[in-house]
Amino acid sequence: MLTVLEQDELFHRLAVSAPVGLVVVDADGAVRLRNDGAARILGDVDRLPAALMAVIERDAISAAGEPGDGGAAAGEPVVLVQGLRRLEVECRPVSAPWLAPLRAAWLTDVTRARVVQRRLAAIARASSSVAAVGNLAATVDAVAAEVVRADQIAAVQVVTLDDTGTRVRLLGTAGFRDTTDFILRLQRCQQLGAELKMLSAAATGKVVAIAHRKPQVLADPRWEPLHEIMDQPDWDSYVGVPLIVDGRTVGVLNAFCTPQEQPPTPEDIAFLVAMAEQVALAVDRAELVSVAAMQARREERHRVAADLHDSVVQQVFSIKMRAEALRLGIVRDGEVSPECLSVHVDALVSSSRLALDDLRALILELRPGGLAEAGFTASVRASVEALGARTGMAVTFHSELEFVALPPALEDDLYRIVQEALHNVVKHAEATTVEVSIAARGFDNGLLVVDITDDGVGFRRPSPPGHTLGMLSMRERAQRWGGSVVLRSRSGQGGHLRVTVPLPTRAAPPPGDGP
Amino acid sequence: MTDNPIGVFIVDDHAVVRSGLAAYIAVIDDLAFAGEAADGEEAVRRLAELAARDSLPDVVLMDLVMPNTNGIEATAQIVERFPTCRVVILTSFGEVERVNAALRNGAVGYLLKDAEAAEVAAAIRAAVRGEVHLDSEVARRLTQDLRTGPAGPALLTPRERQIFVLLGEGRSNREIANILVISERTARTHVSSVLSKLNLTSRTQAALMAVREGLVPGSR
Repeated sequence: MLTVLEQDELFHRLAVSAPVGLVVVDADGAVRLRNDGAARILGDVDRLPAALMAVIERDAISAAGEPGDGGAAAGEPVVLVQGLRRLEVECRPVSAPWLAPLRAAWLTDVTRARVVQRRLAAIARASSSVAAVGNLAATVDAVAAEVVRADQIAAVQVVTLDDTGTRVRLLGTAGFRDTTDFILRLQRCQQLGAELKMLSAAATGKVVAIAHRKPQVLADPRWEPLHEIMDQPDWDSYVGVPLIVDGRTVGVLNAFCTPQEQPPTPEDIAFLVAMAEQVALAVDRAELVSVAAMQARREERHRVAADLHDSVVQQVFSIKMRAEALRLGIVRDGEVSPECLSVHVDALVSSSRLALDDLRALILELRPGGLAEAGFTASVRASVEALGARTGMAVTFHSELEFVALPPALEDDLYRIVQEALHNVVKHAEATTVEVSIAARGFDNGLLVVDITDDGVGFRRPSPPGHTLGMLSMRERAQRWGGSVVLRSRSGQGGHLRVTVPLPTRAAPPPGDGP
Repeated sequence: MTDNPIGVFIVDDHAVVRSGLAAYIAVIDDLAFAGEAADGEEAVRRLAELAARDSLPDVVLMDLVMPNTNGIEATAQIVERFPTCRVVILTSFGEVERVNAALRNGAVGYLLKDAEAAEVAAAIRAAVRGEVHLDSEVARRLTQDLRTGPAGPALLTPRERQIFVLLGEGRSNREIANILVISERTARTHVSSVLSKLNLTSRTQAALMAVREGLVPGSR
């Protein structure tokens, strides 16, 4: 058994060396006692920082109002800044009547834990903004802002590199004030011979971290064009993380760290790498979408060219030969019999009419002037009927809505989706019938739904390659308006594609304006 | 009317083209309409019937893109079975590959449907004289192709060509590796050799080129 003295001594030692900080102050905030933990957190200050004192005071008031509750629950951590040191401290006041007039509190340094927490949240938010479809620059700006928000990073730039690996384009940024002419100034620095650390990150595909980079840059006359921009906000070390897509470096995420006691740690860098991965995903996705869009445009041109070859070119060739025959006949014989003339002219009239009809159908398909005049419903109807006439497929069209007022850009996207879907049916489905219907559905009939159903072979997995890109471009168009494209199909059981978009009054803002 | 007009047989899947051509041939003194067919298969059958009656035409005007037997195959069959018949291609497509294929199969003329009417008669007469008549634009493309030799995708090995097509479908290295059952590293090596052979710097460029070359199924 321990004696009372021994017990006191033991308690004293345990309290002094406890991993948690313990501080005792008087009513004015003067520090009377602190254990080792509190000394680590507070340093050798005589007075408790006001922010901590405020927590203790607040607790004393609430404890007085509601007796019984020890008030030990920790509130939001208190941020302490001491020179370059920035700490987040959880403060749990000790509410015990016998302490009065002294006050005491347990202090825990939660800086690291909070950083980790914020970073995880930042990664999660970044990945959800990458997953949501939007324009690339806006997505990258959002991710850059997340990096800055997560902490310890004063500013972020995301740059892409051209194929030579030397010319830089600014894709997104957060933290620096005015960056509109950043790239111009950077190019000027390059001309002056400034060494761009981001280029070595790009060239090696490895992270570059340089402690105390800012003083170097600001002292270097070759960086003069950027001195003004780089001066604010305050930063110190630089970390360049390559953006890697499929093993190739497409750009660099430049992080400018707030001045710290320590240079960036491996955990700091791991966080930046995770964020750079999100950006790289966004870049990769944008590239894929641009290929898909390019292919869609190209396919459309091919479709039109093939249709021209198949119809108008043949008609016009025939008209030309017949007209020449007529001319030669007149030259040779001096006249043409009325019977012969009638045969030729009838053929010419009928060929010209057919050529004109074909041209009209093609023009409708290209719709240079938009659908404004005919409206979406009528245009889809015409397009479905033209498809039936061209392919011999049995087509049906019905619409619950006679006229839907849609913004022209949405109308265009929807029309292209329908075209692409019909094209896929013709090309891949081996269908004999196709049915297109337009309806308003959902809450308050606020959704425009277009269904395209065929009786073809359905889809096998993996889906045909051209199809993947086609689907991607259809989805992209629908998602731009907060809508979706859903494909339901089983092998041998036909296909059903449903396009859903919110109707205009409730429609999402047009692309590019969103966050 | 010439004593012995040149018999011309017309093969085209568009009736309107056949009737226009027939009308034209009918008014040219030294040409005579000798029959027609809507596709390559029918053409060979009809010619066989004419051969049996010893009235084979001198020249066959042949479209290329047709159902059943296309013009390129039909040309080979006709040249082999009826060596006295000269085949002149009359089509709306002038790609070098098609021209080469048609000439290899024995065609002695290649006209585009945007040719002047008189050129059709000229090509028919040239064929009978044993000459080769090419549309001037087609001839230009052909010589250019001869001068520059194989370029672009023609330089790729079969494996690289597969990779090139997959790039055109927008596949990632991992997907390419999975599809071809190779390691991702090997896929990456193939991708970079495709890029360097094609003188490209990014896979996006490669994808666009593959699509442009019509190598991606579903892109044409």
